[in-house]
Amino acid sequence: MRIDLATASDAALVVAIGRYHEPALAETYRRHGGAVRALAQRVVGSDFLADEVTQDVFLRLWREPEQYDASRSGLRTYLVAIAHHRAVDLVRSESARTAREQRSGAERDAGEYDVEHLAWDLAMAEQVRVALDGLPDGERDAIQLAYFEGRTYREVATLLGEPEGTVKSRIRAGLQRLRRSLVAHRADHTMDTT
Amino acid sequence: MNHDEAAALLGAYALDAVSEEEAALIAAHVAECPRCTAELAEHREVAGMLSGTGVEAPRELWERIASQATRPEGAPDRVPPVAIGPRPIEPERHRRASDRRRPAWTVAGAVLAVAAVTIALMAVQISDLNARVGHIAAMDQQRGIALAEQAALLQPSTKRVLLVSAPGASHAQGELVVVRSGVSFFVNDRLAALPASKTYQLWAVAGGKAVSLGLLGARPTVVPFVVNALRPPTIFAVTVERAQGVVSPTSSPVAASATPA
Repeated sequence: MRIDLATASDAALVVAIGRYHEPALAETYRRHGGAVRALAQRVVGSDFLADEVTQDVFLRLWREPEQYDASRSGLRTYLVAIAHHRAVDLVRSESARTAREQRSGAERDAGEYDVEHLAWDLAMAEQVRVALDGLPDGERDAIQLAYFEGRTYREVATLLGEPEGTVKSRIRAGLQRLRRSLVAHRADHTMDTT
Repeated sequence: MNHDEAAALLGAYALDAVSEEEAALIAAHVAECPRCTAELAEHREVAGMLSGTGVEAPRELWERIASQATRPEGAPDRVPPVAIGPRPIEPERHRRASDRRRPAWTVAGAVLAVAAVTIALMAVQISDLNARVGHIAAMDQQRGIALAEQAALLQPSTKRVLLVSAPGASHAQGELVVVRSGVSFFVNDRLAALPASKTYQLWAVAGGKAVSLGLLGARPTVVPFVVNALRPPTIFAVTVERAQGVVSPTSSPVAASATPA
């Protein structure tokens, strides 16, 4: 029997990857590669490094599929989380940090740096965009700086001139608010994440 | 780090926005705190949604990944992460030629005895994915699975293995359909429905050890599982276990293969 890749569940794909079934990895890449790379690109700000991160993510799935626990998260959530972690590692490395500060400075000089629009160049699902838009400014800024810029909450606090405790709370509350908004949306339009 | 401190940082942690030292402390707390585990999973799910969804991944990049996604040289056929465990099932290399001439039921008898008494504990972690795959497959995709099983039966290389309750039993309890690719199906004939707190669990038995092939659920009909395609197991057994499954059988098999596959 051949696995029907187009209709196989993500969990079934991971099982097939466990058997070194390359077409299953290709299908996983087709489903989730775009999201993984878009996020990596957003965080590292470089096509070259985004490709590196994406490659790392899928080769890791290939080599260690048992690391994925379907009872804990969806496959996309898992892949994106690895990509984000890896991307943040890269941007926090000294050289990348320096380059980014320069880039960020250049963008600021050119008037392009706008914390409210940090995420807008992502091909983000409309409902996520709406949900982000609906957050109080402080929560949205904190989440965007932390997630898309790879900043620690301490750095975010410095950037926004807020106490660290406030930033911690805003990130947590913002994520919870986003979730409520997205779940409400999902209840209206059954969201297909595969 | 106490619960309140860790919980306050969970959002930042989910976004990788804490220092390495904090990350280690939070991870240690989360590992022991179901409440934080649940909240973290929710934050991560939201974070996952913040990635782009409408973009297509570049084809050239896939070519690069594919060129490196190779089977390591000399690597054994890797077992699926869910179904079998950390290492492939060893074939019974030392079975004597005379064994093959014995009537099938004596092999089954030996299997039952082996499975019931001497099954050694193996460090097999049955992941929740195992149950998930089994249950999702059994419930949501039941029709597709039944069709796939029918298709599998049509392939000449497909093997059918009858599972019987005892040596010489005239009726099969169930049947295994093992396709050459390793994809296989358990087909229930006579195993009765169990209470929800229990499950049937399928095992491969080799060298006196039982390795889980997956949970069949409390009311199995047709359940897919995967075996090592290059070296399929020769002996199968089914036991009744608690619903979460167990790492090694805790009861005598209610059915076992009548003939080596």
